[in-house]
Amino acid sequence: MMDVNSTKQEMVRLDAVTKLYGSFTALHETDLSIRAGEFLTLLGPSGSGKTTLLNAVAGMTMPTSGHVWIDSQDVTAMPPEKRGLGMVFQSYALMPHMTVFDNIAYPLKVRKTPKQEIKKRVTNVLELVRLPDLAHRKPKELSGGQQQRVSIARCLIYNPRLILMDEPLGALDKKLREQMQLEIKRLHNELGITMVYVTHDQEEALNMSDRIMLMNGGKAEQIGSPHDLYFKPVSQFAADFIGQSTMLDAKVLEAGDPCILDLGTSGQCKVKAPGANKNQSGKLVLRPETLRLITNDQLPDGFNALSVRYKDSLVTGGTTKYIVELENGTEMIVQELTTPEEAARRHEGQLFAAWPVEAGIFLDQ
Amino acid sequence: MERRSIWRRANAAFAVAAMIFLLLPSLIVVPMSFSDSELIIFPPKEYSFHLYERYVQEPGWVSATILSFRVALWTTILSICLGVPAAYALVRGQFPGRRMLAMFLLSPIMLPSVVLALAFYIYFVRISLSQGELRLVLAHCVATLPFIIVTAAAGIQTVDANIERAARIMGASRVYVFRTVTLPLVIPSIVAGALFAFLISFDEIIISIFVARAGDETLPIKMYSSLVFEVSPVLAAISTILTVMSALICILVTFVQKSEAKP
Amino acid sequence: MRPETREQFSIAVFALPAALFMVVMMAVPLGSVVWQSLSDETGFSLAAYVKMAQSNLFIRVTRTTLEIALGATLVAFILGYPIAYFLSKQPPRRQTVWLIVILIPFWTSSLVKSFAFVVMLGHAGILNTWLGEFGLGPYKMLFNRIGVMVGMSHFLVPFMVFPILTNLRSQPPELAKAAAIMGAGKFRIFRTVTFPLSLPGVVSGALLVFILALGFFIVPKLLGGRQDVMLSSLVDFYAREVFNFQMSSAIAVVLMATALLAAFLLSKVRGGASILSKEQS
Repeated sequence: MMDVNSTKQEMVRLDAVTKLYGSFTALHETDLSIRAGEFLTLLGPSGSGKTTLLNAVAGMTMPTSGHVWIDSQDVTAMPPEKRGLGMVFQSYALMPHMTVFDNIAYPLKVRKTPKQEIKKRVTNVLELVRLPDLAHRKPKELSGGQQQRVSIARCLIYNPRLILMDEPLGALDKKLREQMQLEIKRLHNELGITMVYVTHDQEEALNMSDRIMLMNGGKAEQIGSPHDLYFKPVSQFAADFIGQSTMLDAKVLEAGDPCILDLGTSGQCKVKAPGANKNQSGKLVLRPETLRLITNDQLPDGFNALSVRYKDSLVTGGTTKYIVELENGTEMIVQELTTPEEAARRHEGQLFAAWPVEAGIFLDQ
Repeated sequence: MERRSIWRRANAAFAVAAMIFLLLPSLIVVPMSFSDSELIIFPPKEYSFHLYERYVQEPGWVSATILSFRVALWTTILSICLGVPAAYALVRGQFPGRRMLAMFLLSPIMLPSVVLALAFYIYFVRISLSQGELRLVLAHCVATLPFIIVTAAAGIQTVDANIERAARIMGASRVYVFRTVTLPLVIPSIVAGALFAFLISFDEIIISIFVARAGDETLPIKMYSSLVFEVSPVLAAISTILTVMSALICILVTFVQKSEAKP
Repeated sequence: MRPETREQFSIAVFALPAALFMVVMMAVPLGSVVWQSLSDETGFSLAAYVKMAQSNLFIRVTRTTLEIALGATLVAFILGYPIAYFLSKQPPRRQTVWLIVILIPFWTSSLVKSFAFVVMLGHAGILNTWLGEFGLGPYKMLFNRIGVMVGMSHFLVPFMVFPILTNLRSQPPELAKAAAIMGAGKFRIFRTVTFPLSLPGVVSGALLVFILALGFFIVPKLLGGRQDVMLSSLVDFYAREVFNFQMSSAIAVVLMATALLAAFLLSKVRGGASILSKEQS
């Protein structure tokens, strides 16, 4: 039986790659396989090793051990200019003394492309990034977003087999960043080039990626689709780093399907945790959207419920976040769609935070 | 409005007086050079271009100026060709021994000129190098190379390393990147360094005394002889020319540095 | 990692021409001087150094050299610090103008300066003539220690100003403001905050000036007298007038060693900028 994914070509492969600086390990032994045309994000806090990994793929850093393969070619010993990649930096890295046209034409000049063809291709790519009239300006006359688009155009023009982006939107303000995220995604969809993207912004990663590799302390914490990382984090770090969540201390009372967890003074609940053992300690992770606030008489089947006290609420347009408190003072975050009638009811009577059993995630200590 | 303390005022007065002291020689020689007298007096009683005429007519002065000019020009060119790439290696490189290399290349600044002068003197005899101008150019270059390296390095540091990295990833070799990206952005620093190197070579005296052959008199050497044996008033005219040259170069360099592209 | 070293080598190669040039044109000649100081017609000999240690002439000249060098350093500091402080308090645009004012003497030929001082300090020179109008003088200010000190300090002050000025400019203004808010008067702020912080700049400047002063040759010769002979003049004397290369090389080696020692101390001063890279200050 053929795995559907194996018919797709593998574009990048890291094989037991490590990077040490003296006694400091920037990257622990890492394996990674990136499919052609995939948009993979390396996500993590500073010092997590994501930039080190990117630089290993780029050839800017030589791995201490292990191999890097690009398009079935062992490039571990190859200098960056021979690897056929493109790279976009946070600081744009445009040549200040050249016009936009010359900046974009640079890689073609390096490849000794004839003048006429250069002109044609630069014009095309400027259309592609939606900056058709800026060819003769200098970088310092452009806004941050425009400079970044020129930087991307400069990458695209020579059709690299792989584009690497090192926190490219970090220098832009929020609105511009969101616009550029859409731009980059659009280009990715249109051109189908493999992209490896580095960021510390989990929202950005969730918005843009086919797959995310979450990194922490030089190690890969979890790799999967945005959905996997959000709804099935494999560790407390993953649950904490991505999105908001409620985390409650829990101990397994009874293993099985479903498991029964002891939540201390807050009560008990059921959870799907097939690998858990009796008396195992850990945390119960709950995403805000999976929780609901109900009053006593509406306790449904197949749901867990805990008694809570209303503390605060934040209305952000169509959704409202409720902060509620358990008996022992731990806060829970509940996110629901804003509706007019229920707003008043929150303040009266006994409240319960309820969630479907499948939504709960039990993580080992 | 900040109240200026008495200390600040006193310091300012002292500082200005000190700076006037520093400018005194330059200021004095200028009016003196227009004196219409064979005697050295200040302030001059009558004014004329007499001393400048003597400068042009008296044998040796103009030829000395031309020699100094030629030597300075070649020294500058050689220093730039050696120094700018060296600065690039020192700023961008991370190879072992980089610090030692930097100290080695910059060491002439730390050595007394007489030591270098004697070293060249003995060495040129040993390798039988007798070509006068070549001796001067090579020796001056040792003295000017550190300046070129320091100014070029300062300029290269202002160029974002990522720009060079981006160019390399796009397929350009290191030399191509140096030529098309680094150099154009560093030209103001190189020009500044070159102007100073020229000045250093042109005014250089100690090394020149030891290294120049009997017939090759640079302008400073001829001035030195005059000061030792018989102080000629023509020196006022020459001093003015040199002072104006120094001042022009200082002002030029200040403007060149201001026009440097700030990233 | 062989590819990594190949990568680094490709950058290091840029410095190869300069390095080769300096080896051939500086390292070898200097080595030759050291060798020359240790050899005469018969082979290895420490005669020159022995003579230096024992002869009265050398002891006297060495003492003179140190006196003059230290004295000039001190005068350069007394004149240079106020100038640096004054410059650091100027608004940026005026600072550029004042900097040119400092740069001009810095880049003026030592011969021009010597000529000007001969004219100014001479027996019938400008200063004595002016003083004569008040019935003072004439004072002997030329061909003696006064002449040398004036000439050398004049030359050295800009070298003292620059490191101190760089340091003062890099001090965050918030420090002085914070001290003022806490009630410190202007002089106290200077004494307890500004000056101590500026010490690395002062030490750098002083070491630099001292090294330069050691090697002074032109000014002592033109403006000083027989009591003001410095070691560098002796190098010249032994090399070009007596042709005793062993002797002159020995003196040169002593000068070089002293200068290198001072340079080594200079490199240890914290707060001095490194030209190698911004990250390595």
